[in-house]
Amino acid sequence: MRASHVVLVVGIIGAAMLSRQGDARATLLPRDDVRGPAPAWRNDTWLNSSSPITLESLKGRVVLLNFWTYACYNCTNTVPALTALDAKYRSRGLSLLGMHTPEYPPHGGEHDTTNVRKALTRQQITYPNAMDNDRATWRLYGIRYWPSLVLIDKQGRIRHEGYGEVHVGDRWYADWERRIEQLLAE
Amino acid sequence: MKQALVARFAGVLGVTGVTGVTGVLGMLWTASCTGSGGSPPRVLAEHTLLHVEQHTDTTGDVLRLVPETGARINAQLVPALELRDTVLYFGGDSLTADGAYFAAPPTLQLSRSMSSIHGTLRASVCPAAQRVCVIIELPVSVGL
Repeated sequence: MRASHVVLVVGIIGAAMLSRQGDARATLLPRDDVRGPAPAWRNDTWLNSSSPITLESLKGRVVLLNFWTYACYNCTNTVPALTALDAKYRSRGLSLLGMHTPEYPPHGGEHDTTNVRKALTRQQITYPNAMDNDRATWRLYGIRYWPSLVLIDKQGRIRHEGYGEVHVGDRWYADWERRIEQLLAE
Repeated sequence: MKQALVARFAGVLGVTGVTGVTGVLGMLWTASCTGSGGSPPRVLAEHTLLHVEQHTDTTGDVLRLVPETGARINAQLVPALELRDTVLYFGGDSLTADGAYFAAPPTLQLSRSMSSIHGTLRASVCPAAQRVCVIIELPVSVGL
């Protein structure tokens, strides 16, 4: 192999490694202290709620949005942490809302309300969940990963965004608890 | 194929521990497949998280989804090849202990009656380190 070929191969490998690391850094870090107004979602179909829930109706409460789908293992693994946060903070002013956003087109089954209802029962989820079948709210919030979390303060401003599986007692759970308590205290 | 091998090689160089072992196993797995008597696999489509291979042997043509180092293919949303008027699903018997991911690359046996296929591959892939899943859509054309 000629020297120029060796240089080329090493260059390609190096570029691939840098590209991967760059992607991870750019897209997966949680964003703290975001101050933009939270966009108003318009989801019509809600489960665990007798009527559609609007952002406007939640003013004065801290809102935690969870973008998920029952077919994502990272998402369902996160549910115990979310139910724990709901149990601890709902009465203190936190509204936890699920945004059920399918990964697949309808042939995957995630668009079916019956399937989502079964998943809520299976996972013992009692907090409201919106069907985001057209991914309108997903796009509105610029979400890219399952699961994702968005924390909105009492004034309706996005304050924190994050991605990835969370477990009760892990450092990400502690981070979310700290953020929620901070916003509840404001 | 060269690009795929370079990508896999880069993966092995770029990670350590479990993901590094996965990469080495992936290379060995590829080597074992190409040594099974069929023609070498053709890489039909590539993404940073997986690539699609076409294998041809005496039984016909098989598409195989190979995750790149550190990526896992969601088995709860079976990978699909969406054609104009139908959807073909990949399958595989070997799953991780929790049933969440394919433990070996899922495959799709193509019908001998097909002359060519143009469609969109859709797969839910979960990079282990990031604790998230992403959806991958890749145009795939198969000449048979």
